[in-house]
Amino acid sequence: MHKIPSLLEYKSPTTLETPEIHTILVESDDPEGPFGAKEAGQGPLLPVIPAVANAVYDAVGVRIDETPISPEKVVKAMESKRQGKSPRLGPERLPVFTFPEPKIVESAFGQPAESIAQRPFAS
Amino acid sequence: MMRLPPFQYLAPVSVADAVKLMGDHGPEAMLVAGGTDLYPNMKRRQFEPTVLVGLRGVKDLAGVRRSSDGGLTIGAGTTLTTVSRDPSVRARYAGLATAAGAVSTPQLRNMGTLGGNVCVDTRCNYYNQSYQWRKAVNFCMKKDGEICLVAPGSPRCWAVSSSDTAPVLWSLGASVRLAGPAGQRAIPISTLYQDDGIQYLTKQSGEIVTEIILPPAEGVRSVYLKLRRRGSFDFPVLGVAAALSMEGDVVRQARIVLGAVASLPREAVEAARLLVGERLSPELIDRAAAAAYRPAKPLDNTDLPHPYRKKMTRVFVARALRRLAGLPEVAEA
Repeated sequence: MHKIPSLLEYKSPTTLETPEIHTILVESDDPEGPFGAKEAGQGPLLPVIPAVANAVYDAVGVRIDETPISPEKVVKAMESKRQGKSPRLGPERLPVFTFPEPKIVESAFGQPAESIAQRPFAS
Repeated sequence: MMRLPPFQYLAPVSVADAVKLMGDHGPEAMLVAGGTDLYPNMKRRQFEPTVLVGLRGVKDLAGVRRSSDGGLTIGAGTTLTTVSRDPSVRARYAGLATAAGAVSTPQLRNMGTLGGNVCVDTRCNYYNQSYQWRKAVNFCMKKDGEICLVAPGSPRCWAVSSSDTAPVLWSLGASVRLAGPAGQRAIPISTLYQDDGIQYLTKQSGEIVTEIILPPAEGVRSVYLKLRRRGSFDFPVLGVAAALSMEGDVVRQARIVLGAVASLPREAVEAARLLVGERLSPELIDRAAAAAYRPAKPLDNTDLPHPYRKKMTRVFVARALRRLAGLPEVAEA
């Protein structure tokens, strides 16, 4: 049952929970994107979760290897550590997974795969 | 969220008129002060009054004043912002100032009133949902349904008391003045609540909370700690109110009241008894915290997992008492 069906229950952080954010603009020219545009969603996501996990480890000495890094998981890991057991919480091993061969797709401009390494209208 | 349904809004200017209007319209009518909880609940069809009796025009209901016995009388219509900033509340009833200032957000504290927070509806994951959501799970017994979805075999509703100010006022030994068709009466706030998620107040629906009466606070130290997911704004998933009446460094009287662990604020009588006649040492505080967490029986019907909330009861009671004792909040490892 979905108990968080709206933004009222979905507790997004407010300005008080969010740390100060410094923005550094990097001008890029991505040959894969339309008109050179670059994605901006996943880039910031990837380093932030490890940074938070490291901050928790730095503060209380336990590692939470999965998200969300919730208060009850931190308490559980700290209790486990106190009992001389593992100070880590989360999956214990990586799942066995074989990556398939990469699939070549055509670019957003409908160009053949060979031409996407170079921006079509680059001078 | 759906829109507000049509309703009639009546605006009395005196308590007597408001009581009369409530009597005239019977169970169709509800009282509204700040409306910060009532209007959203109407949009979700948790409340379906056809008549609202608005208390904002009743001037007598707002204001903080000294009582003749040296205590403080706070009008039920006083906003939470005013309560949290009032110099005499801050100086003598620090726990209340903290609790009033911890309710929701600044905008809602400017509208929401102390009386409204004292009477605020109980909450539950299965109840504080849109009409469509509740319909999809065939409703719960608190509104439109037959069974309790938290404890399906239960004959009663387990919705959670979610007031920040109620546990503090209880710990401070406050009373509430009620005005109703039969006249006025003042009752200890501890008797305003009962352990039922639906009928959580003992007052009649036509009775209006007009004043909150605080006893003199000579030698009283009070504190309120609130557990919630976000520090900025959320309903409490655990509240700990502690008030100690001190004689030098000996505890003469103690009250510890837990919020959001039951359908009413829950007094930890055994824990408080351990403190009376004693000096607050770290060891005593740990024993009191261990005793206080026994009466806390949170169910899985609010934010954060309930075993964690129960565990934190002990931690928060210890922190609250350490703060009152002037000890560092967390014991040195």
